[in-house]
Amino acid sequence: MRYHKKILIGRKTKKQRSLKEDFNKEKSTTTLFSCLNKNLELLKDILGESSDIIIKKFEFGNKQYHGALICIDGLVDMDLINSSILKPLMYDTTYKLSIDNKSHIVFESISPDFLSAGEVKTVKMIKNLVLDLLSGNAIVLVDGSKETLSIGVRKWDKRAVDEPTNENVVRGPRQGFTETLRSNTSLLRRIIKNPNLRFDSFKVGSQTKTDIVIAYIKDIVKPELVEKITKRIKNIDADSILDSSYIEAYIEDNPYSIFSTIGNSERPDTVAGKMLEGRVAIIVDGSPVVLTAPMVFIEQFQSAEDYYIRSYFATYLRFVRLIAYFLSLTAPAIYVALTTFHQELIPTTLLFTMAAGVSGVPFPALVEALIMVITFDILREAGIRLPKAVGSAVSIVGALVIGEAAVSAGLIGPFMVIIIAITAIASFVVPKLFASSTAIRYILLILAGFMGGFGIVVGILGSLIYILSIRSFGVPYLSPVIPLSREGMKDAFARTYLGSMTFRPQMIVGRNKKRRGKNIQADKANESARN
Amino acid sequence: MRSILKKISIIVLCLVIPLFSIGCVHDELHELVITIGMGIDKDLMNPENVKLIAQIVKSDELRSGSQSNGGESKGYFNTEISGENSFDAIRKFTQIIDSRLYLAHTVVFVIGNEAAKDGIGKYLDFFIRSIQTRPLTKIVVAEGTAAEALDVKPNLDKIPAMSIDHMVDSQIFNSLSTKSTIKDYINSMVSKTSSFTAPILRIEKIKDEDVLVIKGIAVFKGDKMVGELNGYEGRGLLWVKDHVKSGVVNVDIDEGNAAIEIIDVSCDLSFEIKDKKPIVKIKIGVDGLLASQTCKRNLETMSGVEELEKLLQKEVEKEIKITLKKAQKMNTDIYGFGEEFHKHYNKEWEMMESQWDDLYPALQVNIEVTGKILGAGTISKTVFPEEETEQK
Repeated sequence: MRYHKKILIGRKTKKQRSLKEDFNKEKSTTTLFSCLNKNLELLKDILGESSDIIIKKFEFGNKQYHGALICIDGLVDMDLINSSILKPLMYDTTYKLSIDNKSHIVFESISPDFLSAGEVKTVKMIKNLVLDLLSGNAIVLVDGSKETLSIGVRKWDKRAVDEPTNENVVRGPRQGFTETLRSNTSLLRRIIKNPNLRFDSFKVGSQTKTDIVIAYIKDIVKPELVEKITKRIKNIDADSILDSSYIEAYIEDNPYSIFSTIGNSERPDTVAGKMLEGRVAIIVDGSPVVLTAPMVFIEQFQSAEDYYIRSYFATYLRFVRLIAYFLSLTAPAIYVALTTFHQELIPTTLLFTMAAGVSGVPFPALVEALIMVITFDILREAGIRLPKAVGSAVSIVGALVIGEAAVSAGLIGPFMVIIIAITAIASFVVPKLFASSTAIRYILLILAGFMGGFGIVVGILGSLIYILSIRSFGVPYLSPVIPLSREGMKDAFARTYLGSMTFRPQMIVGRNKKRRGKNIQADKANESARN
Repeated sequence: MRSILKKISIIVLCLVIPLFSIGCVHDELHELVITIGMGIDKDLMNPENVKLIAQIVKSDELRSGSQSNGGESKGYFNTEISGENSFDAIRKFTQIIDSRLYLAHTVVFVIGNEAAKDGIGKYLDFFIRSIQTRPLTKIVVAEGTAAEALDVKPNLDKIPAMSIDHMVDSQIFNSLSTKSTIKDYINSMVSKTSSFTAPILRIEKIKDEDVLVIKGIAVFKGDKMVGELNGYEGRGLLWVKDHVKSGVVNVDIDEGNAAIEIIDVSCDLSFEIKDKKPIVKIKIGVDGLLASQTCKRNLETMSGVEELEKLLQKEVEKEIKITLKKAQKMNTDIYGFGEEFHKHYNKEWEMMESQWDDLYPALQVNIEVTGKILGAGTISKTVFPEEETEQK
């Protein structure tokens, strides 16, 4: 077999070999041959003998011309190929084609007249041809022509637009993004019917050639922001982009930070809302999670539903989330600090009960807390990764072993179980901050174990200083709180009445700063004049 | 990469260094010797010494549901030790119990009668300095010894010290006795003229069982107890200090009496110096409700209410006067008038301060009480049998 291959390679002309080498280079400009068979051989050489590649040779125009159609099975609509490419070419041309030997002319007349497919373009370079082919286009080669037709007949199995799994709402739209880039852009287009909604495309990943689209509304976004993001995406040097999180990691301001500085959402309404505030959305083919940038800290406490329910209740919910976040960071630390350093802060009667609860527990409170925090994370991880059927078994074992047996065996105090339960539940309230809060929780816990309340204060101040130093695409992470913006505060901790939020976020928006009111028209006029 | 390693190692060091820099050994929760009450007695065997009684909580036995089999279990135990001073005694407790006493949750200091008469300063000095004891810890003076008082098992609470704490708090419902804390003690010691007062804790027998009661107020001159205020005399003090929040004033009317519930008191003190003589003017307004009556007349009439108001004024005035007389006789400025003159007449006070012991017994105090009856409960007419009402 090996020997045979070697002979095959040996048979190839020098030009062919150099062509293939050339193709592998980044910027190839090699064009096709005019001979059909040579072209096919070259393509076979590039694509190999993959079983999903379909090559159909055919004759047309009174059998004067030889052609071939190449496509990839599973990415194309075979019915459409038959009805709108092969059938018109093979049958209709027989009657209509003028007798002309110059294939170039044939091409010009084929495409508008005979092909009823919508998206047809001519391709000269091999590199583009292969990329189109792999993206799901059908390629029509004609003997004697150095040009080919690339026809958009894409069709593949895709998930229907479904309810997003992670960001559920009681009231509000139930559409979620899917893995298909086009359907995602269409979802956004359906929400924002504005000619200024722009989609800029990129292909990233030397191996995967993943399609990436950055979406923004041109008369709202800061032009520098789009420039910056475009530049960073173009600078990505990666061989594969398998999910939008890859892009997030490559274009983030500080990839080593424990805080994420790029937002994400599965909901078209959320993404549209963010774009209307002047943010840029980054849609990656193959990922149902769309990125939005820049992101500020407070955004992670906001939910899509905040804007669909009554404002006072939305405000209350935001405070609940803030309290839950604070609890998830500090609850174990505060418990450890109270029980080892500041027993005088515990109400007298509670102290009796707590002292009775931990009597006979062999470990100091810090060790007890560390054991429980780690145990909980183990249980959580097991619950997520295991098959659904086994997952319930894990939760039963976890609840029984930790909730009951550990306490009655005297291994862990009952109050520690309560504290860990509160921490666990609270940490699920703000899922977007889960990763960072785990890290901070451990730091605070250890500081509290050694320095008590002083340690907690040091830890919180340290984290605060750290958060203050973060910027997301030039926007301070804690805005609109620091630096304080009165307009921004209307949609930070509180979600005020929609009618009172006149301005888009100051730090983010570029032009057209007003959401509503008289000046909108004037702004638009200015805008068109500037353009 | 190198700078990241550097950063990480700095963070790790920041977390690890404190591990070794903690010098003080901290007690875990279950190792604490929670001292809920502290008794102070004069050591009769060795009068120079201080005898401390610590009431220590056995938290395991307080835990609800865990009934240790075999009869009654107390949630506390008392232990006592004598030392050359309070701190010496406190540390000597480690000879008889597991660990240091934990004083941050001490709710009450019970001072034995002998110790109080001896002067409480030397006993309390340590507790005032200690960072563990709270300034709002209550002080009560026992009629007998503190050891006896702390040993009486309360009926409702599980721990005597907590029971005493709650009893002192509930005095606001009749305003007959006061509430004193370490902070009050410090304040009156800082002032050269004011006298410290503290509630008195007595042991009485009800149905052949020892029961703790709060009755009366102990009056101190300096740090020594010099006398008591009993019965309504206590309220006489509280009216002027504006500490009466609630209570019952009984007035005699016809052949029975009527009880007036105090619902609001306003107290306005003004200070004057006339002809180098200090004068205190006390203006007190009492709002009350007719709460019950034993006489049969219908008092809910204009004339009835007016009569009640007059009687109320008279009664309150009488209470204040009796107490004032007694306080002046003992020459104890329990009201803190001296401090008020200090505030209002700063210059004159320099002269007065040294003479205050002579000025106070002869201090002129003008008392003006206005009483008001605002209602009579949920009825508008007495419901005594009708024929008797008609006979009147």
